[in-house]
Amino acid sequence: MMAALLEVQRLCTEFRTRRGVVRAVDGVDLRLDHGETLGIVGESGCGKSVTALSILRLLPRKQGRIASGRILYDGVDLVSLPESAMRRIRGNEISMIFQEPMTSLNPVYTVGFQIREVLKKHRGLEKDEARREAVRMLSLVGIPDPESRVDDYPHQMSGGMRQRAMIAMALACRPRILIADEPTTALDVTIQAQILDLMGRLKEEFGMAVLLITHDLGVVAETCRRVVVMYAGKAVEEADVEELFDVPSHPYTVGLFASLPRIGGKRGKLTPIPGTVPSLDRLPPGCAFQERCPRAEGPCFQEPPPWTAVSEGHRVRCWHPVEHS
Amino acid sequence: MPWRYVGRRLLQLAVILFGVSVLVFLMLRLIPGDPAQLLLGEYATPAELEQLRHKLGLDRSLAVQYWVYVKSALQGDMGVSIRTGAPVFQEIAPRLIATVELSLAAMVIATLFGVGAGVVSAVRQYSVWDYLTMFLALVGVSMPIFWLGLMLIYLLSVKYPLFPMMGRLSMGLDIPVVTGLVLVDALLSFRPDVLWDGLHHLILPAFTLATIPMAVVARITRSSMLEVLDQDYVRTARAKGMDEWVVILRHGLRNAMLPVVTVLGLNLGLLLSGAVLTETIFSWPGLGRYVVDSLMGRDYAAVQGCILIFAVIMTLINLLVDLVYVVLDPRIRIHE
Ligand SMILES: Nc1ncnc2c1ncn2[C@@H]1O[C@H](COP(=O)(O)OP(=O)(O)O)[C@@H](O)[C@H]1O
Ligand code: SF4
Ligand SMILES: [Mg+2]
Repeated sequence: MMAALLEVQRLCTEFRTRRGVVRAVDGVDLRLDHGETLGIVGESGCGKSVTALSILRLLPRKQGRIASGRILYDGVDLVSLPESAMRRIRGNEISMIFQEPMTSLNPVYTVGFQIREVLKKHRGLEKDEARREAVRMLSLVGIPDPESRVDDYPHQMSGGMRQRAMIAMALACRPRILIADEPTTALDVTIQAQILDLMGRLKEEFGMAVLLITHDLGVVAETCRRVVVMYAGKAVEEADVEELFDVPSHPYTVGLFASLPRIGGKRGKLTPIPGTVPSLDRLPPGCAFQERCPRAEGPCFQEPPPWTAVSEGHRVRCWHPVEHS
Repeated sequence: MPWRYVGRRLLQLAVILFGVSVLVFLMLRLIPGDPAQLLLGEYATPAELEQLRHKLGLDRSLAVQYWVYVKSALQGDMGVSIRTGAPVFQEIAPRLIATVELSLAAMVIATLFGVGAGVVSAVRQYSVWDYLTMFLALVGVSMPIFWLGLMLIYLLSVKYPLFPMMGRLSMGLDIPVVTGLVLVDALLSFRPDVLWDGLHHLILPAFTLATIPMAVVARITRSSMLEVLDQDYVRTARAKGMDEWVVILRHGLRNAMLPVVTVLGLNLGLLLSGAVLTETIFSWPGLGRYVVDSLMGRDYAAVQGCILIFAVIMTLINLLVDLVYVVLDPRIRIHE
């Protein structure tokens, strides 16, 4: 097996809060190969963003820290890398785009300036050259009339345009990995499809690996090769996309599918998973999903379930996984 | 630059000045006390008094007095000081420049140190530095300028004579007046000794005057920075691999400056009133002291001139603050 491009091993990330230390990410493993798209899905608050921010070490400093685990990028552990070396990786080898295009760009600088900034920092391009490159990137992400839009301020652009500009900025230095944290959640449906399309196209063109975070299984189905399902800070199931859609094994994953609206499908009704995500500082002993799980029984209330292999490349963290015949 | 906006603001300025001139005019005329009596002393004869009143126009109706006043003011003639007999404009101009020099110096000190301390406090929130600066800032805003000035003089001029205690320049030093700003004139005439001497005289009063605005600016900068550093675009800047100082200054401070500019603008008014006290304590030959002396002597023309100048300055500063806003925040530009 070829060495992974990015390998997250038993990552634990903690936050100091008024009610004590909470573990927002608890022992998560991820493996991202060259040129691959890996999806992370789960309800809001399950630790997807914190996982992503941990990889680039962008956690809010005052409260958050990586408590343990390793993040191997090209075999180098990012967790212990000096900050200066980390800065050479951010925006250059590993880039990130965020959920909120409306607030992720600095309101007082033009979009062009913000793209040039990263080109100057990592590729040493000077003003004119950087500007030409910024215009090229804007046209690459499908912004019409890039020569004039390059001088626009963020507030002069729509949400979709801003997300395109963010993508242009993130890809300006040809990163090997793009971390996209719910890049389309804040956009309306038609724009969502366009942005996903664009990301797929650029991924092929640049040969990047993508870590795509979403709470939308539809997005996963269209874009990812492998998926990791997260619940309450833990990875609970991991499989190739087709496998996960065919034989979801964790009751939570099954619940996620059941809650998908299927237009024209056999199951027309929407059945959201009953109950809510438990608060991280009051997790029950045993499985974190027990309160909402129809299969909870016996060990579920005492011991956190270990990983079990379902088949080659498909594993699940559950005492009583759903069986398919 | 939105010129139509500037034009509209200048028009507002004219309206405000009209209002101020009417108010000042009426206020002084309605204070009991007879300037002719004051000028000529207790033993003046009624005839002499009558004659002076006539000369000053005090015997005519208020409306006429106001009309005469405005007409000549528009021609740069602010009347004659009844204490010195010199044209008010001539009296005010050099004093105004002395005050401007003091206030600008105080503003520079307040901005540099206030913003600097606030930024470090925000970046190192809850550190010893943060607690210390915020404590000092609290002391600073509640410090009576008068007391602080006297303490500084006592400590740094009398007990340990490190600084001169009064005036703008030492006796015997003289330079040709070009701008009226001692430091600038010293530079223009290549006189490093005068530059040094002027600076030496300026430091204590400027620091005294800067104390309150510096403390206010430090606190506003800190809270504004704390808010800005939590914004998504600051995280984006970090995600781009920008150096920490770029993140803090270019992406953080630039956005955090908006409320700071507002506060600086508001404090320029405070600065002018502080200037009256500071100039008195440090014998600084500025407008602040002049206006107090003129008030005491019921020197109508002089007081009117001063207050009018204050009003013009305040309105210009407000205009300037708004323009700085437009420069700092591109989102405002589009609405114009
Ligand atoms: N700045 C923070 N301070 C304290 N707790 C946080 C902070 N950010 C995230 N968390 C905790 O981490 C959990 C996971 O958050 P997040 O990764 O943002 O979820 P999502 O999967 O929706 O992206 C949250 O439920 C919250 O308890
Ligand atoms: S371990 Fe038990 S409670 Fe948890 S998901 Fe599996 S069956 Fe449900
Ligand atoms: Mg999130």
